Amino acid sequence: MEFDDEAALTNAAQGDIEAFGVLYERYVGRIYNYIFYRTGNTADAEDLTARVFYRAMRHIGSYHDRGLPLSAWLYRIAHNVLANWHRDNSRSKEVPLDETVTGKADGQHPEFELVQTEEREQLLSIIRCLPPDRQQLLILKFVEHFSNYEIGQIMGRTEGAIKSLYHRTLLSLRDEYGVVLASDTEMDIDEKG
Amino acid sequence: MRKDKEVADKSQYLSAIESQLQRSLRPVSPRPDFISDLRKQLVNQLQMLPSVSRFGRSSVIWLGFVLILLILGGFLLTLRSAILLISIAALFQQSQHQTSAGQDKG
Repeated sequence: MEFDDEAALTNAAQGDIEAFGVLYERYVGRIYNYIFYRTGNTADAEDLTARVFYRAMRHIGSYHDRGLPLSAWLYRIAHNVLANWHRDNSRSKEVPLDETVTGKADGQHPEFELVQTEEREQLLSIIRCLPPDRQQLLILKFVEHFSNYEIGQIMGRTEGAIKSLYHRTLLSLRDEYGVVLASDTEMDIDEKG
Repeated sequence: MRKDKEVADKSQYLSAIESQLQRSLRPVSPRPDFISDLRKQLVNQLQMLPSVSRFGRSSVIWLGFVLILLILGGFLLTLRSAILLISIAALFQQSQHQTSAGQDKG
């Protein structure tokens, strides 16, 4: 049976397991991706994805009051879960992204093993140094392929504010990390030019 | 002329960064075992959820509101009855005083 988000949510809130399953299948991959790029390893990504869905399930009845698309609501939950995780982690330990995402540690993805370049290692470690809202924006734009409007809904900002934040993020990548990126981007410019 | 070149270089540089981001940030797939295990756990949890979520939060809020109104109404009724009883007692006492004062005069 085909459900749109609204219908699936209404049914899921009334305890319809099939409807909840539809929503779960629709969003679990996206939420996992989002969390994976923010945490940098599969174990934490799995743990936090599970937390997001447990939290969503507990609060599914209150969803309608928020006036957000379901995807935006789930990403906001993920954002809060991640913020708590980062806070707790900063007190205990830090896992460097370049050792986990790029495949030097256990639990990496085969995709990363296949295309593991120095460029990616550098870029991911640079992204990890950006402020959380800029990391969030880049992941939603390039991993999840959301439009500026959708990103605005998730981050609670206007479309214009997202455009501006995106532009500033690119500029800061250029200005603050230009040295690291220069060799790769010069190559791109040469190819295009 | 130089300014135009700078702007063109800047936008070329930014689009180069964009294409680098596109190459590096690609979706990954979670483990199928993880997806199916989590689904099972969530379904079990959903079956055990208290009936509150099935009624919906708005129904619970309304029920709470009605209960509060009933409690408040009961409290006000009790207070009013107490005041009435005290007033009757005071009137009774006053009338007794007046009677005894009249007897004393007589």
